[in-house]
Amino acid sequence: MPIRIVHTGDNHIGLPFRPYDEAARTALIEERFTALARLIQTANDRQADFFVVAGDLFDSTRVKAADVERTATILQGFAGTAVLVLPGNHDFFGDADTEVWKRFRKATDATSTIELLSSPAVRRYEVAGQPVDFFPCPCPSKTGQEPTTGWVTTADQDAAALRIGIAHGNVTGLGLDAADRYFTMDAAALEQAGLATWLLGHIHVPFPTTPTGTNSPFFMAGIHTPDSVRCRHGGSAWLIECAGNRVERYEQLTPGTIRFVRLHETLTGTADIDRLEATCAACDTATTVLDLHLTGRLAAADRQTLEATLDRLRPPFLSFTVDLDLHEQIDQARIAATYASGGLAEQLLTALLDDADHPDAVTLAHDLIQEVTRS
Amino acid sequence: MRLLAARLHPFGRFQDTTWDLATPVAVVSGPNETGKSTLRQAICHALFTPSGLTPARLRDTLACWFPLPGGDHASVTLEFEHGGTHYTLSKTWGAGATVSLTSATGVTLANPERIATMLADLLGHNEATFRHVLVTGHDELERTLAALEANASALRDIRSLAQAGAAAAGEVDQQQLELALRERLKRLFNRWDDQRQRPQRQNCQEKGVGNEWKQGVGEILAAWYAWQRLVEEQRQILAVEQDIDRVTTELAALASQNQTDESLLERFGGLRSHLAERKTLDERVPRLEAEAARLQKAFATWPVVDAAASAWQARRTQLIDTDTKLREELSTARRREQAAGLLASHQAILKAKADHETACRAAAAQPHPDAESLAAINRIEEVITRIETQLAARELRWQIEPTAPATVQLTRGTEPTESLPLTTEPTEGTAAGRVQLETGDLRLTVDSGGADLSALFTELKTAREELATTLSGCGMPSAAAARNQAAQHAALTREASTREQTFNALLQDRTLDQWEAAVASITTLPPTRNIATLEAELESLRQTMSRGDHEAASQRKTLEEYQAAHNTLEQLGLAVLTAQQHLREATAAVAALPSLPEGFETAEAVIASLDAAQQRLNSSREPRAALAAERASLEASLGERRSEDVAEQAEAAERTFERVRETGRCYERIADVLGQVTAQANTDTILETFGERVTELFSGITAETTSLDFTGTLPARITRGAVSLPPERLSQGAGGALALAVRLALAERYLGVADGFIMLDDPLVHFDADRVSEAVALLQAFAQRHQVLFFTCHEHQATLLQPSPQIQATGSD
Repeated sequence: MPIRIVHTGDNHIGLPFRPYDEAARTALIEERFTALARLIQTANDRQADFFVVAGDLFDSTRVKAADVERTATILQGFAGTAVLVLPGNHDFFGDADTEVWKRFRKATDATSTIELLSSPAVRRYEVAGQPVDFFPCPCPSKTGQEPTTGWVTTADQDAAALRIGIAHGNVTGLGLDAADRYFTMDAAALEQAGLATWLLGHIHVPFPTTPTGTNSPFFMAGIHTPDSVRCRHGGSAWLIECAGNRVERYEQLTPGTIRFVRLHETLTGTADIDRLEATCAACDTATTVLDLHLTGRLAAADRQTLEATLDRLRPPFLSFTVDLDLHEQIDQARIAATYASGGLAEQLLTALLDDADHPDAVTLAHDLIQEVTRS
Repeated sequence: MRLLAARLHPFGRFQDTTWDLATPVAVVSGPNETGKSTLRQAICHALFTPSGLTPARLRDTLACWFPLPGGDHASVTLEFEHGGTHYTLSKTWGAGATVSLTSATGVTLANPERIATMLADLLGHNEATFRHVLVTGHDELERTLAALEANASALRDIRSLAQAGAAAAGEVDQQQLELALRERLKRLFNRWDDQRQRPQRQNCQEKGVGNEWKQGVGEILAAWYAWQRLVEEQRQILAVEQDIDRVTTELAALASQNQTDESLLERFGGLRSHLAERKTLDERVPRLEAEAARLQKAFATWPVVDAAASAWQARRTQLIDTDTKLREELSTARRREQAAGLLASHQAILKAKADHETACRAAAAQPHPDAESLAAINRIEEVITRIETQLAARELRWQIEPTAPATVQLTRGTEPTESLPLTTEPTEGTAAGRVQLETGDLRLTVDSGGADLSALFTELKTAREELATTLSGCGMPSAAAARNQAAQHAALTREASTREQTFNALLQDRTLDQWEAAVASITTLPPTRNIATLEAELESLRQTMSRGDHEAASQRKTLEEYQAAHNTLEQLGLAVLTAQQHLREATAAVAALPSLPEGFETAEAVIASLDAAQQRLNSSREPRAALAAERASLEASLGERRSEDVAEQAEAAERTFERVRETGRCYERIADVLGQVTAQANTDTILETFGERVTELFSGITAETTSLDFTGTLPARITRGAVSLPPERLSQGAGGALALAVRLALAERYLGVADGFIMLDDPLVHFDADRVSEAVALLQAFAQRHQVLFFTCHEHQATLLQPSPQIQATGSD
């Protein structure tokens, strides 16, 4: 029987979602818990032996006790051998007084299946006679120049055991961290550590990039359910099956239900508005946080059409925000229909019409002329 | 373009109705709601609204003209004439949208773009000109009136009047636009240094975040501040987060150290008494080891040193003997070195002596006249030379010209007589003082000068004979040889003298015999090695002696110390045994104590570690509390803020800033272009013409009872009879007249000399009867140049303008 591990991370329980309105915020906060609960359920359904959280289970070291307790309760629902929780850089383990972990320990004392991986030391388990050694590399702070994995290379390794590393931080080439502030690891070094694989967290993008496969030197959990428009996927975790000291198979799990969608659209006419409407309508509105960034130039009538469209689209979405950088479409026909030929306004706008460097100038000039004539 | 007919089929309430408009003044009359405005709109749409509209535009612009109920399209057909050619324009919007333009020549266009282009050419003006200028409905007249009234207080010159008129025609006032643009630019750029992309400085001080401008902050700077505040906030949050990390790391290090210290104290604190004893023994054992070793070494050394001292004494005697011999050999060698010099001097003396003797012999062998003979020779030669000089001074030239060849005896001066054969050719020559020619019996003697030369010749002969005698006496061939050999003899004599002096100098005040004796004594000295070898051996010997003496002294001292300390070698042996016994006892005591903790070399190190651990534990409580308080304070200052969140906000703020800055640049561009456009415009002439025409038209409408006067370009004055009013106090009727005058003047200006039409919708509503008549006359005059479509619900005005037949607003089916 293979040893099955469900690998998650960057769950960010306690993320406040401040920019959103009350209803959306409540739903988004709740989703962090329910998605985790769904993942635990999936892990149980798939008879996983270990449930590994590779850092940033919590959003900070000061997450409210109630949230910590609820999280612990969800994790205690895991039916396998152990839940292994690694402190990441957001919920780092500074010392025994680190608030979130004090609360977590207090909430998890009753069970022996949850283990907080607060120190860099081998944790050994046995599944059906097969020794399984985990090499945890907890974060001692929010930022750090050096990777926390250094100790693994000098640690004793039992050749008979399945050996799995757990760490949290950036991986060169995978995430952008120009200042190397987040415990940047080197992919080649990870591979050379002699372990079957590494279970990593920090970058909210899953790795490997294929949903199934047979082996990978390391796995990046990806966030279990999206937390912002930066997250392009629908939430990710991995089910990893190992035999001996190697990964035999992996499969991506998708516990998230909420999607964050940011659309950058340039609108120039009703066709664009119709396309935008179709794109928006294709979303699962009740679970989608939609953030529209609309730019371009529209005729006045089209602008009204757009606003009516947006009003129509808005209600069913979980959250619907629009950043409009739209200007009225001013073209030669519009100028001819509005300003008498040979006049100052007509000459000015016609001269501005073809200024590719400042395409908005003609619209702003038109607005200004209208403002002046109205006054 | 002149309109000939309009057909609406359908359009609004008309299913298919045609209006004949082919008159200079086409009056469309009828009560309200009979379709006048529908016809106006249909004409406008036919001329300017494309048939291919998007659904949204169709909905917004033309759907309202679809016939009810359920109409899905609207159609208009216009017939018009331009430049003598008849055209038919048909347009349908909505279902079956289409457009066509047919000319009387039979050419039909169906391409919407080409038709639009052709219509634009035929019309000569754009849609806006048409809607704002050439169509004067109620709305337009009301706007003109409103513009005139709104600007009444500013109607102080023609410019203002024209501007009011222009505003009514949808045009913008340049000055107002420039002012608005300046205000907009100021509102955007105030306090912003666009070149540096930073806030303007104040007294050379930067005005960035933390020292911000408080007042007059433009929109760009406000956006920049908003962005930079977030950047700063992010930086501060990052700094706090890093501070928390630092404090956490320090706390973790302290906790870890405390844990280690507590563990150490717990494990080894109970060993302190044993460790103290071990510490004492640890100090004693090395001392005992050192003492035993020292005594053992002395015991081993004593006999060795004693033997070495004795051996040195014997060797030293040998070395002294060797030294004596070496010194003697060196003395001899030095004498031999000195003798080499003496022998060389002796050789030089012998050579000098030989050289001297050779020189003496050479001098003696050299023949030479004695000094007296030499003096005589020189003296005689001087006499001869003097006489020869005197004779040479009397040199004469002779020439013989014989008549026949002959031989003569010729004697020249003192030279011997010669036999001279002569030819018939002249023979000539010279002679010193005298020439004597003898031939046959003739002897001819010629002397030079008057003196007698015989004495000189005699003296010369005597001197030459004396010289020959003297030379012969000393064996010399000539005076020159005598002098030469005398000189050679003198040189050899000097050489001999020099050699003699050299010889005497080399003798150095000794005789040659004394030199010979000294050389004989040297040859008896014994042979030696060279001085350098002997001196090196002597130096080596001296050093050996010195070292030996030094070592011997040291050995003597050691022996004296041993003897002083232990008296005898046997007693020293006893002391060695005693020390070794003490060492064994101490080592056994150490072994009996508990072993040292792993990682420690000595008990002292363990005790020091325990003391240090205890001290650290005692002293760490306060720093830990302080660090915990600092962390709590930092966390509290952070609240729920995270650098990641602020970073996102900062990115959004940066986008906003870029957007506002681009807006600013757009306005700068607008200002540039406006400057270029206005620089090309010649508004003054236009204004003057426009003002004059308005005045003319206004006076015409008011039957010239009211005039519009200008003093220069300001102020305006309305004069009716004896009454003058400022323009703001015009009656509604007069205002309407002024508005119509402005509209007609504008229409004239835009139409120019081109063929065109205007549409007027009840413009005379507020006119009294007299003014209506004047206005009708004016319009009829206007219609001579440009077609007038006059819409009215007042039958009286319609009758006045077009007695018959009038066109009913309902048209004809």
